[in-house]
Amino acid sequence: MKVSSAVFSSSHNRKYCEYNDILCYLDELTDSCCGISSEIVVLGSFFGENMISAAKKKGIIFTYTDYISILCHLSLKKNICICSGGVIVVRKKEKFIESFFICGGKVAFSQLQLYTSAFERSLGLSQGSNLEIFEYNGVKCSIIQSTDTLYPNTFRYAAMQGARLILCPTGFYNSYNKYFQFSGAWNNCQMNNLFCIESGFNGNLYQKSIWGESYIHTPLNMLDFGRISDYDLSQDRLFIYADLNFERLSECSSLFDPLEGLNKNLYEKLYFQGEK
Amino acid sequence: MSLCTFLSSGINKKLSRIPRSESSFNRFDCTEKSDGRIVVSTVQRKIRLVSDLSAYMENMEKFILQSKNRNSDLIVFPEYNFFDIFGFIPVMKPLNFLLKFFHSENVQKPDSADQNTLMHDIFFMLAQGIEESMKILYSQLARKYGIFIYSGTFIIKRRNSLYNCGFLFDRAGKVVLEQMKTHLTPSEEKMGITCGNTLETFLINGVRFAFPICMDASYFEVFRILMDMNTDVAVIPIANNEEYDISRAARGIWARVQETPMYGIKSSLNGWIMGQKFTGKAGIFAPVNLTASQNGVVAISSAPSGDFLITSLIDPSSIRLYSKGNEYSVHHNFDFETQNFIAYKKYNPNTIKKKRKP
Repeated sequence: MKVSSAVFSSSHNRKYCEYNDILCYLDELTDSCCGISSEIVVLGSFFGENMISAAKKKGIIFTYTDYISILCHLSLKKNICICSGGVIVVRKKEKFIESFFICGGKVAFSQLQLYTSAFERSLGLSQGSNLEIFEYNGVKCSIIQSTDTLYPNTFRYAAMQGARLILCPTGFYNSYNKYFQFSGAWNNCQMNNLFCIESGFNGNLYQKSIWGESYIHTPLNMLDFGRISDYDLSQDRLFIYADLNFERLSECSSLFDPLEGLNKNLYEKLYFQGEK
Repeated sequence: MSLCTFLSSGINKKLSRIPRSESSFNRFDCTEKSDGRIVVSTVQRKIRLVSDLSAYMENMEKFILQSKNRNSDLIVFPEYNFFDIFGFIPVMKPLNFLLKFFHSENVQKPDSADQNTLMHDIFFMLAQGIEESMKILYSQLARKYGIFIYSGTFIIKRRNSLYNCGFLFDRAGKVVLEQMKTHLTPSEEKMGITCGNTLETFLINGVRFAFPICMDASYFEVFRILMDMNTDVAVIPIANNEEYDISRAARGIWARVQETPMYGIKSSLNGWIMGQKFTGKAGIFAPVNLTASQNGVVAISSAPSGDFLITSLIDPSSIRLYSKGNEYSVHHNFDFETQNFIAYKKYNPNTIKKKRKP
């Protein structure tokens, strides 16, 4: 299965800063991904928020539903699945960060962010309560976004439900440190034998500098460095891609599956003995 | 007499001849620091087959003396810190040399059931002798140098079950903590070793230490439990029988202390035994933002093989401050975590295997 991760670096942000430019970026990106027969493309977290902000600057009334409509249109027209990256949504008077998986022009699945950072809490954002698994072409997938990638229980839970491909739109608020990012999705792919498409957003929003690099990760047992593809800062690529081999992932898990070594008796003490 | 009984009786005989330390009283300064900081030394050492316990003790004492000269409060030894005593077996040294010589990098040898049974039986017969002699030996050394010693791990026997277990000795030479490995490698499982189900911590100079073992560092759950126990420092003894690779090494304690802020101290065993090559760098790790190089490494040995002693001053106040005050401080989501808890309860490896099939 060919998959892609969008690259939206600081230089892209400068190049595609106006609302119309961002529309062009999305058009170019999906065209290029289709050109290599990619089935899925993941956008960075806050990419949609960036577009909403650019539209506002132009005086255009544009909400997250308009952003999702544009992605639905592109998905249908170019026959590609798109993971939107996180946008701020309101559900029952509470604000959340939500990512959408759009397939065949429709929202097939969405996931609320489960954990919030200090800054996200200061914006009044709430935490979702469920991590859902959805199936795409027979592969169980899940969306684990941004702050959630730093919580290893999210990946563990997804893996225990049978997920094999994780879509990770990311964007971090602290100072840039690629080792910090690696302690998230990459680390969790290793701990659970998963594939992961991580897409980073770079730009300024809510008076904060947001950063993230784009990678496609694989368990080390399959490849030497545990990542099939990574974004080279010296290049101005629109996306990175990889061909994921799920049969090899199964072979890799049959040699060593970390989940088989879980010690459930010990975990009786996890999460305060399960009490709130 | 079976091969196993023959080998075990020879080793047990030698294990009973425990050397006496030259000076049993402590002539070193062992005043407790009062500033809540602590100096820790961690050992990276090569397996050296020895023909008696005094040679083994001498090798360990060199590290302890060196750490004491660096004002260490605690010295940490690696996992399987007893392989050297297999040198008691008369043919072991030439056999080990031959197995190393004919070792092929590209051949993956499957574990044979016979080999696992033999190893299990040897450990079963030796466990008590190894535990008793090692406890006396490390107790003497801790008392002599007035230093906390984490002995590294040995195979021990409790109620007819074998465990991979490490011991912490205080400055008076008393065992103050016993920690069993809670996650086993596939080969340990095949050898019939049992995993422990509890985690212990111990306070040294106001710094709370925990001592999970090797594979335990591949499971974040261990560290989240330790975090709830207010652990400042996790000590991880390792013995990895594979070629060193920085990415593979990063999957262990380095990754754990990033997601669950605490210091990580890794001690490693290297060298050859029975045709198996062990590698690994000893090091001290912390969250990336708390390290000068911003890469999560406080100090690390320069090579994955050979003898090294890595020493560093640990200041847990910086970790405690960081844990509470950084952008991504660990936060709870009780609704989701309750689901996690239920998922573990329902956990069945066979169901997971089925779920993960394409």
